[in-house]
Amino acid sequence: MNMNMTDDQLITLSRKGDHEAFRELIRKYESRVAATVISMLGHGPDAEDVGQEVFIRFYNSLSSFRGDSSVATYLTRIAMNLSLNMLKSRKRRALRFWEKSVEEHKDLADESITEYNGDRELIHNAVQSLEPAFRSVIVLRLMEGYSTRETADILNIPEGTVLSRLARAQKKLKDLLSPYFGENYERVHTRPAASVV
Amino acid sequence: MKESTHDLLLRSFDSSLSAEEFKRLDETLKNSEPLRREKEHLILMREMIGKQESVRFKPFFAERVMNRILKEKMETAEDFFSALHSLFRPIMVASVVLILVMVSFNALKKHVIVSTTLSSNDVSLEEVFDPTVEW
Repeated sequence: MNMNMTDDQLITLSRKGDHEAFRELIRKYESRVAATVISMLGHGPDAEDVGQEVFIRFYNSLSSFRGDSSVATYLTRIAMNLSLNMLKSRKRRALRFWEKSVEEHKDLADESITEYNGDRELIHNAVQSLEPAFRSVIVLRLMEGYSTRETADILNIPEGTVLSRLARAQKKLKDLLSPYFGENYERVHTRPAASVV
Repeated sequence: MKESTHDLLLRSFDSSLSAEEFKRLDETLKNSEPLRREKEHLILMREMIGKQESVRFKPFFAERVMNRILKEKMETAEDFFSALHSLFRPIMVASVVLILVMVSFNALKKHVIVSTTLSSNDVSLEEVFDPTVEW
C-alpha cells in the first residue's frame, strides 16, 4: 500500500473492497478521532468503543460519501455526534464523577504546580467537567482548531450559538482553573522555561 | 469591569468585531489594567487548552476496527444464508412430499404404465390422436 495515496484514492480502493486501503484511512485519522472522542468522553472503554464505531459507520457509508466535506471533518462530525449520544446515556453519573474529580484537583493544584503532567490532567478534567454542549465547542474550537464556522457546521448549530457557548465555557473554565489565574499566575506563566532548566 | 466589555473581549478571540466594537475594546484595554490582565489570562488559558497532549487509542486500533468490520460482514452473510436456508427448507420438504404422492398415485393406477408415469415412453402427438391406434 502506497502511503502517499490521497484520501480519494484510498476511498475508491476501499469501496472496491480493499481492506488495506481502509486500514490506511483508519491509521491516518485515528489520532484525530481519538482527540475528539477522548476529549469528550475521557479515557476509557467508552472512548475506544465510540472510536471504533466512528470508523465502522464511515466504512458502511463509503458508498454514499460524496466528499462535500473533508474526511477529517466528516469523521469529526460522526465522532462528535456519537460522543454526545454516549454522554446523554451516562449523563448524570459521569458529570458528578468528573466534577468531583476536578474539585479534588483544584485542592491539589498548589501541590502539583511543579508537575507539568498534573497541569495537563487538571485542564483535561476541567474541560471534562463542562456540560456536553459547552465541552463540544471547546474541543472543536480550542483543541482541534476548527474555525467558528466549521464548529457551527459540525455541530449543526448557528455560529452565534457557538460564540455564546464559547464565552460561557471560557468563563467556567477560568473559574475552574483559578489557581492559574490568581496569585500563581506569574509562576505558571514562567514555569515552562523554568522546568526546562 | 463591565460585563459587556468582558463579553466583547471573549468574542474578539473567535470572531471579527465591527469597527466600532474594536475601537471600544481597544480604548477600554488601554485604560483598564484589570481588562489587560484578563486578556492575558484568557490568552494563556486558551494556549494551555490548545496545547493539550495529543491523545491516541491503544496500539493496534486499526486492526481492532478491521476485525470488527470483517466480523460484522461475516455475521451479515451468515444471517443471509441461514435466513435463506430456513425459508427454503419447508418448501423443499413440501415439494419432495408432493412428488412422492404424485408418483405413488400414478403408479397405483392400473391403466397407467410405469414407463409413462416416469415419462420414459416416447409417444408422438400424432400417435396419441390417431384413431386407428389402439391403446
